[in-house]
Amino acid sequence: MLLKELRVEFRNKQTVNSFIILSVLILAAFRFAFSVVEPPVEDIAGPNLWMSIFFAGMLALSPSWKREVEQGTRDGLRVAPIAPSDVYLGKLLANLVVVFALEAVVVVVVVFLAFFPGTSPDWPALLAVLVLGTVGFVALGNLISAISSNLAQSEVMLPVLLVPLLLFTVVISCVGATARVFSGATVLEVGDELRFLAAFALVYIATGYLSIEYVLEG
Amino acid sequence: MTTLADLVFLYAAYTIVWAGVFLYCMYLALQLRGIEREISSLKEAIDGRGK
Amino acid sequence: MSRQQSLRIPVLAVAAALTLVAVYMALMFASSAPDVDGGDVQRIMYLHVASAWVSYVAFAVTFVAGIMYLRTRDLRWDANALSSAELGVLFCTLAITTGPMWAKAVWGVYWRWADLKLLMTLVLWLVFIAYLALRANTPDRRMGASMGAVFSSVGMLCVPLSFAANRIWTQYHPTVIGTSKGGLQVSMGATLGVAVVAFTVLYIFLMLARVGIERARDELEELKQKAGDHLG
Repeated sequence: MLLKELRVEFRNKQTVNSFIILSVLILAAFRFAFSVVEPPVEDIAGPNLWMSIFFAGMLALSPSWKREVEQGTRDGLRVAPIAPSDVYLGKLLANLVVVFALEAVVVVVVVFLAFFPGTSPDWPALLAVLVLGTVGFVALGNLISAISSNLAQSEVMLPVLLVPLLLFTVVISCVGATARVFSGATVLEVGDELRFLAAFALVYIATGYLSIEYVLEG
Repeated sequence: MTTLADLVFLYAAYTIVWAGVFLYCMYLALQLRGIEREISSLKEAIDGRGK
Repeated sequence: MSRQQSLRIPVLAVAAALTLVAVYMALMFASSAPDVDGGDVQRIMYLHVASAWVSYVAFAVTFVAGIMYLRTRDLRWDANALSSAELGVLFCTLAITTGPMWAKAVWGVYWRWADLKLLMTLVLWLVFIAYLALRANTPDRRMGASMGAVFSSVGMLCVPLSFAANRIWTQYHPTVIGTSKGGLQVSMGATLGVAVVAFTVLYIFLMLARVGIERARDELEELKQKAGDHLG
């Protein structure tokens, strides 16, 4: 299942590249917007990074389920002897690959611009926040994407449904932890946020795994 | 000390709440009337054809 | 007349009576001696707390009704879920509008990010507005019902998670918690109780009305089907 999903994603290698470009452009857009009021770079680096990841990531999530609807493979999936939960996991992993790809680029850009050539942030801490935050974000986003693929205006409904759920959970934790890492915190110091993000990821992977069949059956 | 500005808040708050509830009731009533109108016109159409 | 419809008038009467009593108590009866924070403006509290309370109940009803729909596939559960969500958003909007007015008078600020109760209410409000958008964008009744049920469950899960995240955040951004008064005086407590009960009865009435509309819509759909058969 996973291999099939990955193959499909890579068949659209162009789209992965487009999302990488998009994420860098979003980053640039925020940077430009903020430059008007001239806040210190270190302050806005964290928020800008995550805004880019979240928005580019949300756009990257919607095609994976919509594609099934458009190509009429939806009913095929339902009848095939694959459990819906496995479909969810397959798409989750495929989406993770895409989002991690765009993240890698954006993180390098941000760290380079904010830190080079002076200090550098604590990499284990930064990576931990990135990985845990992204897994939670994509786990929930994958489920919401499946839901929104059943709706009219699905492209806009995905953010409409997803953002309220992320706002006071993932956004606060990721941006908060990243901001502290950029100011010098180490892994232990952001332990609370990391634990929360891990819990969030586990909760929503489980939720997605269990409820996906209701979403697919309708 | 209750200033005049504060009292404005008080009146505003009460007005908003009651206006809100009242407007919602009106909205429900309008919807219901619309649906009932459609129902009765459809019923007439069916009975008319049936006979 | 269905049982629901015949209940409506009595419930409305009770709601109206209780509301009048509550308003009288809030404005006249409850004490607001100078030592009470904010003086008379503090009377907003009765409306605000009652609205917030009702909105929490309404959202809980939507959550439970959604799950019951998924289990039984009975569309009546879904009618309850949708109606309650609409009412929940209504009362939550009222709570969020009156809250800052009260807050400004009592605390001096319109909003406090560190306040968990404020946060939870805001999250619920946003999630259920999204829920209504979801329902509005699902033309098929059954699909809307199941998608709504899954989303409201996911959303409710999010509430305790938001608490936890915010608690972590405020550890690092401690804000000075405004001093709030200790206990309530008896007259204020009684008024608050009456207000909450009044608003709850009002919610029940509005639920009966709103679910009635869903029922009427279903009847209309059935008629359209029949009309299609007859006239087609």
